[in-house]
Parts: sequence; structure tokens; C-alpha cells
Amino acid sequence: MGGGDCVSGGLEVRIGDCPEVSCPEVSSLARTFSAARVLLGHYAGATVRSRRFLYMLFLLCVPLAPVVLVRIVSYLQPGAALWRTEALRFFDILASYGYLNFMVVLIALFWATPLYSEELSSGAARFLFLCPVPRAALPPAKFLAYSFVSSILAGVSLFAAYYLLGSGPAYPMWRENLPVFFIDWGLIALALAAYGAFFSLLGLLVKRPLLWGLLFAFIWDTGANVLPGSTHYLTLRHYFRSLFPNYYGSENMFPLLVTERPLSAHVTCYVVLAAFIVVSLLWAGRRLSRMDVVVGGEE
Amino acid sequence: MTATLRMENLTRWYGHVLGVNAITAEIGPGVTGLLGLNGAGKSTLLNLLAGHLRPDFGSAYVCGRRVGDDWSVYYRLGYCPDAEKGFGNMSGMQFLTHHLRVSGYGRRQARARAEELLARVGLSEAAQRAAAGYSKGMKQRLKLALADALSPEVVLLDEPLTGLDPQGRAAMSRQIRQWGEEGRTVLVSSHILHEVESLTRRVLLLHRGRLLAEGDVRDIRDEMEDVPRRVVLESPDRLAIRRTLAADPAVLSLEDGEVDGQLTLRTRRLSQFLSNFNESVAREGWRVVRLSTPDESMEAVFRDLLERKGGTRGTG
Repeated sequence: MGGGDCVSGGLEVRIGDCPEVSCPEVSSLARTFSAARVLLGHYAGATVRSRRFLYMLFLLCVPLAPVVLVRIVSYLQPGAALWRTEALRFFDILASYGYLNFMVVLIALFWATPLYSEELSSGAARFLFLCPVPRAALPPAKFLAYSFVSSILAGVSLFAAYYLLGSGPAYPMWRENLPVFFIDWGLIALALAAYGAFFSLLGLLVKRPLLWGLLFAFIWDTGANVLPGSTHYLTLRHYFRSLFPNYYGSENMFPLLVTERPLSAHVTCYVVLAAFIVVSLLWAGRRLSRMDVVVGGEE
Repeated sequence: MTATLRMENLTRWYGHVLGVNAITAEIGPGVTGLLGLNGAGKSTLLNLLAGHLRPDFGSAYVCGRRVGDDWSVYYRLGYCPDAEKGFGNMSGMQFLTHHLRVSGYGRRQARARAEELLARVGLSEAAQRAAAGYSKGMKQRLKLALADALSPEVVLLDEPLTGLDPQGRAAMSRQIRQWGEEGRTVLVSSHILHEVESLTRRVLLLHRGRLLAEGDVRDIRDEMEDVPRRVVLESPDRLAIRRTLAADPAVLSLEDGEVDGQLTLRTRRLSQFLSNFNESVAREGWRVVRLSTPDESMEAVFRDLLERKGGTRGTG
């Protein structure tokens, strides 16, 4: 151990007291980013190897069942006019109703809810939080790993649906409408991120987060969208409804009972959703920084 | 003594149960034992010092930095928690490499350091095996390697000798003493008095979340010398021993359990009595099957200290 000084986290540290090999000259933010990058790689790999990955893969195969059925029908009635005109419409319904309103919410709920809290319950945090890194580095790393892997999975499933519908024998159209697929995929990835950020935060804040998540997704997020007034601005669904080019949701099932809600501008939607994700991550980081790592009384 | 580890009025409640109560102490370089019965608050105190629990009142400082506010404190603080899980699906090598990478090491540096640490704790051969499948002793050694990963100045060890075989215990004790000799501050918790005595003379005694005594373990023992202590003897030469002991002024009372074949006596100066008795055994050629001093257990030490100090904090 030599002489001299180094700066660690903005504080003066005598190098004589510093570990020889790892005397850091980095700010808190730089340390957070560097650790988050390592954690991202670790968690992305761990996610792909986990059993949860297989469950989610299975779950994402569910919307393909009606697609396969439609495809079988199309073989039985090749060249049917209905197939030509309705294939793309069917894909829109599937993307907005099947994926966005149903699969995305379920995946985010079951995948993201324990995202941070499992670090505590598994005991991994007892070791991880001994590393010289702000605890706030954990949420962005885990969140990005989840978002990346879940978006890829959803993309594969969505593309399978798109290809099966768009490559009909009489009217192959999947190439010319690829932008439709990419827009829908992008919005579904954004939805996975937004719902995931919220549910993972919920996992840290409340007991029975799955129950609260279900209530939020299927009662509040749906219900507030059909109530008169401005409550729909407080739902995530409103912004995705505004963004989706040919949105179809449960609201559309009862058009006479539901007040027509005005849509928000795309820019507004993106800003609100981005802010929602960032605030959720910051809140989770703050919460993690201030919470006990061990269960009370554990000795 | 320069205090590297400082506790100021550290208090922690678990709902209505008091975990640790207003603990104030300063610990300097070298090995210090943290002694207490099960449930005394040792792990709670160590978790508070490691930042794993947040205190309801008070603060802990490592090298002058407040734990919980400053993440860079972990460059100077290593902790070996009493935890059996948390290794995930990682091998011992992956576990250490991962934590070193998160701590800022490059890929190759982390691997080299992990290999060095695993070799030091004797886990090189098991490096590629899943850490979750390690025996308790191997997990202890892996946690010890992690605590030493950044060569911290302050090391907290929660019951590090538990679950180790005699060889592992000896190696671990050697390592802990070496850290102390290197000038690191090592706080080792245990509920076994002689285990701590083999590592250090400096101890903190915790009882029901309170700091009952602190200082040199010999001072604490000396202070308790005047308290009558029991000695239980089992010998085929019981009658001859009884005759000799009855005339010994150090023996306060003598009880002959004719049914169980044991002699139970009480003495004030235990160490002096034992020394005299050993000489007599050698001289007379008595055969002693068993000799025990039940009041020397931790429970007895605490009971006596509590009786003497009226349950309040004292110094040894």
C-alpha cells in the first residue's frame, strides 16, 4: 500500500487505507453505471437459464393457438376473400387485445413483480449489497435484463403470429406489411417495460403484490378507461390505446355502454410513459437503499 | 487505540421486541470477540454494522464513515454473514468473480483474484462446483473469501467457526488471528467462550441486546473469581478424594452423590483449586474419570455478571 490520496465516491480516502487493487476514482453515478452494466449481463444470462423463462415462453405460445386455427381454416378454404381482407385486421386485434391487454400484463405481473424483492428473499442481496456500489444500481440492471429478454420473447411470439397470418397461400403479404409488425412489437416492448417497472416497484412496496397488481391491471387500468371524467389519464392503458394504430380492447366490446375517450398525442404518451418508467426505477432504487436486507429477527 | 469501528447508541427494534439496545462502543485494530447467548443480539449488531439492518436510533461508523449513508464504506468493510443461502446457481468461482466484477474489477483481474482467494481458503478443487451444494464448512470458507475479497480494513464475522471440522476450525482461526496481526479490525461473534478465547482476549459481552461488559476476557474472569463455582468429579477413588478435599480450606461445600458416583463441590478460587487438585492427583495417583466445571459455561458467566452488575452495563 503506497502513499498518496484517491477519491472514492466524492470523498477523500487516504490510499494507505485503501485496497491496493481497487482504489476507485469514480463518482457515485459512474460506479452505478459500471456496476449496472455488469449486473445487466449477469441477470440477462441468469434469466435465460431460469425456469421462469420457460414458463413465459409457454405463456407466449398461448396467443398462437387461434392463429394456428385460422391458418388451418385458410388451408381448407384457400383464396377466400375473407382471408385476404381480414388477416391484417386479425393481427391488429391479436396484437392489441391478445398481447397488449392480456399477455403483456400477465408476463409483467408474474415476471417483474418479484424482480427486486427476490434478491432479498433469496438471500443474494446479503452478498450483493456488500459490494461497494450504490444499491440503486440494482433496479436499472434487473429491469433492463427483464425488458430485453421479455421483449425478445414477445417479439418472437408476435412474429410467429404475424408470419402465420401474413403468409397465407393465396395472398402472401407478410413482407410488405413488416412495418406494422415492428410498430406493434415496439409498443408491446414499451408496454412490457412500463407495466414491468410498476409491478417490480409494487413488489418492494406492498405485501401481496400479485393481488394488487391484478387489481391494478384488470380493475383499475380497464375500469378507469370506461369511467366518465379524466381518470383514464391515470391509467397506462390510455396511453397505449392512444399509441396503437388500430387499437382493439375490451372497451370496444361494448361501444354503446362506453363513453368515447379522447386520445392523447403520441409525444405526450411517450413522455408520460418514459417518465413513469424512470420514476418507478428511481423510487425502487431509493426504497432498496433504505430497506433492511435481512428479515427482522433473523439470527 | 484508534477506533476503526464505532457504535453510537445503536438501537434496533423488531416490532415490540428489542433487538439491540443503545450500544456504544469503539473497536480498534486486532481481533475482538462478540460474545453472547443465542438471541443476545449478536447477529443483529453485526447486521447493523454491515448496513444490512437500519438502526432505529444511533449510528455505526467504519473508519469514520457512517454505515448506511456511504456505499464506499464497503471498500473498507468485509462481512461474513451467518447465511446459508444466496449463492444462486453460481459456482464458487462464479460467485466470487461476479462480486469482484460488480465491485469494479475487470474480467481478468476478477478471475485472478477469485482464484487467489479460493486457494487461500482451500476451495480451489471445488471452485467449479455449484456453491449451493457446498457443505456448511465450505460455504463458510467461501463467505470468508468474499469478506476478504477487497482486503478490507474491517472484517465482521458472524459465527465463522460454526459447522467447521477441527481442521477447518484451526485453519479459520489461523486466518482470523493473522488478519488481527496484520492490523485489521476483526469482530468475531460466537456463543462459545473458549472459541473466542482461542482467538483473542478482547471481548464485548452482549446480553438481551445490551452491552453487558467489554474488555479483556481475563479481567472479566478475574472479576468473577470470588463467585463460588461448582466442580463435578467422577472417580473410582472417590472416598480418598473426598477425605482430602474435606480438609481443603478452598472448598466451601462438598456433596457426595453416592448413587451417581459423583462428587460435587463449591470453591471460591477455582483456578487455584484446580491447580492444587491436579498436583494431588499426580501425587496420590488417583484415577479421575471426569472433571467438569459447569459454572464456566457462557450461561453461567452471564448469570453471574448479571447478578453482580444488577443487569446493567459494566466494564471488565
